Amino acid sequence: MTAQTEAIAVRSLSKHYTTRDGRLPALERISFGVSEGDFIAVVGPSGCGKSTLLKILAGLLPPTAGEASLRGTPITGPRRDIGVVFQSPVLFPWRTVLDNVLLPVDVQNLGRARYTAAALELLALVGLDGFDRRYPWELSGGMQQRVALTRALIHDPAMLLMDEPFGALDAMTREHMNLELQRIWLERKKTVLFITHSIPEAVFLADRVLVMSPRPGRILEDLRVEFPRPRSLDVMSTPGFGEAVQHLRAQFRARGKLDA
Amino acid sequence: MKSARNRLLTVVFFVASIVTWEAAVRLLEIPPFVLPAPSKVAMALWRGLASGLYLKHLYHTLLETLLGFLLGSALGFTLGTAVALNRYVEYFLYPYIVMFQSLPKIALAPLIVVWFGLGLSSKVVNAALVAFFPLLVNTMVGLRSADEDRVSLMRSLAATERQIFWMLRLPNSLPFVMAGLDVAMIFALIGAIVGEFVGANAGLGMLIQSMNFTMDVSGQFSVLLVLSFLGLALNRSIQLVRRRVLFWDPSEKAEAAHEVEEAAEAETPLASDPRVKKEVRAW
Repeated sequence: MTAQTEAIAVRSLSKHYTTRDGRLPALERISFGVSEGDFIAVVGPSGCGKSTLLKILAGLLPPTAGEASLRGTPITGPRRDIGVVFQSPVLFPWRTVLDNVLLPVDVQNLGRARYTAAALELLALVGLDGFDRRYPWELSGGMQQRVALTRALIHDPAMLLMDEPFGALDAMTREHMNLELQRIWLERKKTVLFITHSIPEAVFLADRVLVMSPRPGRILEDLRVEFPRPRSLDVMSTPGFGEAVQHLRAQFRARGKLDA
Repeated sequence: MKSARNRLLTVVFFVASIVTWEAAVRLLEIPPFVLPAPSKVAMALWRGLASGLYLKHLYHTLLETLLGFLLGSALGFTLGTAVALNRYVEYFLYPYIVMFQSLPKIALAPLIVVWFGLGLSSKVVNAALVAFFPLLVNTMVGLRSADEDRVSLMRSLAATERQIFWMLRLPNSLPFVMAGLDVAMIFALIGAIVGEFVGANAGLGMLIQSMNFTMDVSGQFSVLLVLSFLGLALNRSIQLVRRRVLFWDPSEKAEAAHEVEEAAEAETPLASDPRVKKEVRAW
């Protein structure tokens, strides 16, 4: 497969931060490719540069060396064909749920009239119909994160970048959100790059799991996960799932860092 | 908790302190030019209000305060925005701002009367001068306090700096700006009164000054009462605006949640109302 047909192409990407104590390498010559429509999970311990990688792909941070391109064009800054979901919902409290979802439409001057119906439809898809006139502070954490997901989808981006989106949720809500995300992904078929520090979450959701090492971040393992879709939570208790999780965990244990 | 019993206690306490004051003045025979009895103050207040004298002077003070408030806060907001958005403006103006801020602006009042005369304009300038700084500082801080994640979100959407200002920084600064307006309103009143003390031909401050010359202490007390009601009314009007503008701010919701919790205690069916849940959570 060539770079032109790949949704995400990353080649020897490095990022060094300059601190008072000198240069701090966050990412060290990372390379990988993602095909259109794939669900990729990136796992790694805290401080392995996962978020740095996402920020580079979102165009929020320039790399120190190497290159990254999305759908064949090199990343030079933020772009409009991606949707980003952050660790916290990052909603604006002065906007209603609907207005929060329409934020990308407002910023990109796409015309509210054309997108309001789509926004209501998406809110229904994530199970929030009837909440469009509520304010973010009237919703629970899980609901707020669903609004954030809807906002990332509203301008119909080809790609979703998600930075530990469910990390702040309790275990029950988190499992539920994983199922929801899979359902939405199966329905909308976007390329997803999903960052998490939970190995089971990564194995449950993804077609491929990339394992990153602690600082400086390198890719240790690129594991294909072949469970049939749609996956139910029961898949987590199958031997194959356990093996995959064990295998990935061993990667960290080998380096004396266990964070899952 | 805020039951009829508590309200009754408040009234009882108020009446008791007035009665004690009245009794103390009469029994200890305190001369009226040192501390007038509450009854004397009430009579002075009645005379002043009935003759229309207080209203005439109240009108002047109110006008000076409001004009000074508008002028000062508009300038403070504009300059605060300029400083927050532009590094050069900050670099060149900030030293002057810091210097001016540490100066007690009230000390300029005599100079301002010399420059602007005994009429309305000198009081407006004086009020504006003291109302200016709370707005300046709060606008600067507010515009710069936008959450890093929210800025990242806006940038990831390829928003321009102008869009980030209008859609994020400005609404985000409103809690600070409203707090600034709150202070600026009372500061403007102080500025106007001090301006009147220094030299004026009308206003409640001038009235206090002239009553002082005639040793009319109960008159002064009655004017002070009028002034505190004026201050209260001005503060309330800002609070009213604040509640409308900042309905989403945690500080506002905290108050609302308090009321709702009381209601929820009173009758359980309210607890099933989604509004209650949200506000209790916000608390």
